[in-house]
Amino acid sequence: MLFSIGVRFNDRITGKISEFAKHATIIHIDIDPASISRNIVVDIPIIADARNAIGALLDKSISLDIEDWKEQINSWKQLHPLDRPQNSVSGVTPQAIIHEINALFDNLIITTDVGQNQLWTTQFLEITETKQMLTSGGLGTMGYGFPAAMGAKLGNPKMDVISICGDGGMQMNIQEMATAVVHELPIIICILNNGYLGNVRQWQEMFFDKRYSTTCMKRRESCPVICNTPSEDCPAYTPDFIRLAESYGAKGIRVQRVEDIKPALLEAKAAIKSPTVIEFIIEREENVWPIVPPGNSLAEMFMGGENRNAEQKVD
Amino acid sequence: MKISGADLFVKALMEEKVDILFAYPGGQAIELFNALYGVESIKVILPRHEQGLVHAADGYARSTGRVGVCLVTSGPGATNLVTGIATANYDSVPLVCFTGQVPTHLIGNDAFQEVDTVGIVRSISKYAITVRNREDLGMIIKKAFYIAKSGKPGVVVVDLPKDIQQKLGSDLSATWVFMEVMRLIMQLTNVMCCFLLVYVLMTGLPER
Repeated sequence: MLFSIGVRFNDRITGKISEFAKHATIIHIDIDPASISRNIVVDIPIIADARNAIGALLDKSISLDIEDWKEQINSWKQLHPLDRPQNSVSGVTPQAIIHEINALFDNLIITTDVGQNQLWTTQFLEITETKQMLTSGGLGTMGYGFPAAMGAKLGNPKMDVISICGDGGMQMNIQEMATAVVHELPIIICILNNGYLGNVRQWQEMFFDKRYSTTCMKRRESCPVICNTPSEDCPAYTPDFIRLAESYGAKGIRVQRVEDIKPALLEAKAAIKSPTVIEFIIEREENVWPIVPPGNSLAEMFMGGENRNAEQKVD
Repeated sequence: MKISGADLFVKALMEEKVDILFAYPGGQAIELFNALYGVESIKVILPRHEQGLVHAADGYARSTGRVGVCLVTSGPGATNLVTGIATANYDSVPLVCFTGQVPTHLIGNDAFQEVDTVGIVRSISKYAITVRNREDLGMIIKKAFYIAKSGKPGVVVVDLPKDIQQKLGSDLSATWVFMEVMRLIMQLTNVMCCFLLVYVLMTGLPER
């Protein structure tokens, strides 16, 4: 049985639609009648405000003896952990950063941008009753996270607010650094800088034979026409996010070693009136796992490891 | 007392208890900004680009559960909102976006900074309307907030031509108008019920 509340069963959720939850009975709670059975035919539709519907259901809930099932799930979790060993030399990995955020912040609103930063955040962020995550889940708008964090801080001055973004999305609305400074918003902007439009690069690596077309953010006119091997010799990244932050009157911290993650976050957390930019230099070709190739069913996901020579499945 | 459309706009926002307005000025919204000058109960935030502005309003709305409110000028101000409107509407975030517009007599005449805002946002918003008559302004703003937050929340765009902003009209607040209309409907319903009762009494209940 699949209990779905306020979802739209779009392609990102279902993968190949004919293979999605074929043997499940689907219950769908949604306030919008037009959302019912639009993409997936559901067995039991409930048109209601989710809050009311869940409340009504809880009144009638019975406790089940499902200890075996819980054990089964936990064993699967141990067998297939999201937290996978990374090929990072420095140890400054998205996992390490987000685990540190989980440990250091209690009352937190976190916004993501769109791309790998978003996927890592949704994988590793622990959401509790006092934490909230804002993300552009439907349209997938790069440049969303940072300004959304400003709005969240304005509406919730007592909460800590963190924006997690990539180096690409950050540049889409970077002008708002001025807004955050003049309105004295002590938000924490975590840039996961891999020097690539990483999500597209990962697809190019997996499905396009590593042809890194127009995804390298370090690329300059003087670079070779064909290049898919980032190295120490690559041109410097532009802009220098730290000096840029400082030019706006904000604080800038660059993190290149794993032991610097925690102090940087603590320093940013202590700021009262000024935004802090923390630029985390992460492994350039870090990937998000698992991934379901477009058009595949959820059962056909790649778990990683097979990444370097993954072949695109053609139906 | 007669007040300008711009003054009624501010009055209506105050009645909706708008505490933060995300706003970027321009030629066709200047009257609205003039009316906002010195208003203490509404904190006006000036982002550096309309896209940043609308995403900030979106973040405010998602994190507080309240309606995020945007105010921008016509033409490029409105088109720069488009990505943010689609972003918010797709995720059912309640926003009310006010856009300046050229005066009604210039609409459709290739006026400076004129675009068909309502036409552009129709497929990415829950509701969009150009205010054509000054006397409709109060009710339209009231409706905008109601539509944005009711049912499946979404984005409402209210396009405000400059002459509507300038024109003097009733200072009756939107809420007052709303309450009056509701009262009128109730009265009409009462009257109709009375008629029905009298009719039934005179003719007897219809046979089943």
